[in-house]
Amino acid sequence: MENILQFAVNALSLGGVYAMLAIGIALIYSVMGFLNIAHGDLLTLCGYAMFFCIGFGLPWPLVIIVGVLAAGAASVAMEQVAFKPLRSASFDTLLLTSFALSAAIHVVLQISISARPKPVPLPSFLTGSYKLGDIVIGTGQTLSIAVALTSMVGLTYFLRRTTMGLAMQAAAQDFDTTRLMGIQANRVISSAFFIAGILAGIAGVLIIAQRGSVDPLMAMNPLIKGLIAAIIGGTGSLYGPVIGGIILGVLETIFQTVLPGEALLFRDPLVLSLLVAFLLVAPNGLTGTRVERSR
Amino acid sequence: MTVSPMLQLDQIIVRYGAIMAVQGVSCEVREGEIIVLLGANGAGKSSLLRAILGLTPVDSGRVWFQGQDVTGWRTEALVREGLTLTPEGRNVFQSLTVKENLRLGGATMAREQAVETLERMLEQFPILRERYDQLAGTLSGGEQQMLAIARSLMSSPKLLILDEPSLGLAPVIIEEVFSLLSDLRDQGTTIMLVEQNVAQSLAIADRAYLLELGRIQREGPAASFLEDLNLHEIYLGGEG
Ligand SMILES: Nc1ncnc2c1ncn2[C@@H]1O[C@H](COP(=O)(O)OP(=O)(O)O)[C@@H](O)[C@H]1O
Ligand SMILES: [Mg+2]
Repeated sequence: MENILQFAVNALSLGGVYAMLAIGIALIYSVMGFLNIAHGDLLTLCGYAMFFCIGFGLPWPLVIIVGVLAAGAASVAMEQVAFKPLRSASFDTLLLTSFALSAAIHVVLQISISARPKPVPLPSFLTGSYKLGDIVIGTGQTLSIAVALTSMVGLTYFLRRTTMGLAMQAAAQDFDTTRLMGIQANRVISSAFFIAGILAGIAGVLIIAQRGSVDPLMAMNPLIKGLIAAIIGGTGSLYGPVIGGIILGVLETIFQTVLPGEALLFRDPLVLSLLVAFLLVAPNGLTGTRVERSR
Repeated sequence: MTVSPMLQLDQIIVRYGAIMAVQGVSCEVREGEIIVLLGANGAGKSSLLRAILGLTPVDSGRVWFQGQDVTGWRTEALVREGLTLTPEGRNVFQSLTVKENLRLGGATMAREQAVETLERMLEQFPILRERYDQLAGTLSGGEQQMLAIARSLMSSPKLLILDEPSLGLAPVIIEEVFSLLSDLRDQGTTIMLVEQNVAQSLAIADRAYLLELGRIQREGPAASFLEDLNLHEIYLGGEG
């Protein structure tokens, strides 16, 4: 019984973080029509922002807020600098551009800061643990679940209740008609990138709290997980990436538990193989992908 | 009294690469009238409308709206000036409710004004009140078209442009759409209508233009078009 609880906490905390990344990827995909490979690097930029804030001696709540906002701002800046000039370009062009952008970010960080990890010591209660009956549960994991849940509730509210949120859903279906509502395309796109960036920043804080450091290439693994979660779940609705993230969290936790030590290396390849098998059966993901795009 | 045109197009050209879809169209819409732009499939009607609204670039030529040169303006800005388009096909936001669709239609309005306009729309389109919290994608074709028109009207446009509003609708519903447009004109909205439904659109229109392969081939009072009984067969290939 306690094993099941422990398992659930592990799986959900992992899944929640993946879900936040996947939602951002899916949001950009549904509004802009391309997968942003540089999305993962927002985590890294959040990490460096926190690293510098700690260096300046800022109190940790401020460190976290600056880190999350930095990811949001970096996401908006990416759009302005790299994607906006290519508004009418094809999926392939934008995908390649995002690859190039990601590579450029890595190089700039490696040259200007260091290729080696920098410490980001977050307060101990983020990495500690507490006992519930007989089982030990990580505070970080509990927090991950709580934060992921809160973010999703907030996002649902935003998407269903605010004009900008509705406009974002409308733009995902038909961008031209959304503009005919007098809604500014630029504002919708910037908002989508900002929200995706904020979610990546929140995921970044949770991931960095666990590993305690930041380095230029750290986002590779989370990015792939976020992409997988978005693809398994489908990008047609908010629920798709969340379900995808949780499935991924559950699978990884299962493999983590059942694989013998020396086979743990194969955890990610196994998860990836399952993804490929899954896509053969359901190429549009669990909840479907919007294909009726206007451009 | 001289009435200055609400919309004036001067030698509009629209190209898609090597294809010239609109080849120098000039026409005007005066305040308070319904004009209809007739033309077969591929004549360039949608391209012209999209160019007016800034959704497709104008290659050359000028667009004047209320005496102002608005060529090259962004769509959003034109809508705020009081120009709007109900595009071709079923373009309601399928996964949003009727209420949410209407709310987006009034996105540019001040809150009180949006609430007031919404109430008027629900009076004018009782079916939308019945379907208020339903997803737009679950409405029938005719209901979706009504919603699309009501959504355009939410921004209280001075000029409403419609691209083939009768397309794919049952004859009874088409009747309803046309009588709605004629009511709207009587209430003071100026209307530019693109149609392939010749007889019915000429019946409500004040003036008409015929577009063929990107050029205006004929223009005049709707009544003079109606007199030419063979027009339908001659110009539109007997369809619609
Ligand atoms: N996005 C586009 N790219 C290339 N050609 C187009 C595009 N849209 C329309 N066309 C072409 O322009 C011409 C006019 O099309 P359109 O304006 O849709 O006519 P209509 O609305 O009168 O049926 C057609 O030959 C059509 O194939
Ligand atoms: Mg057309």
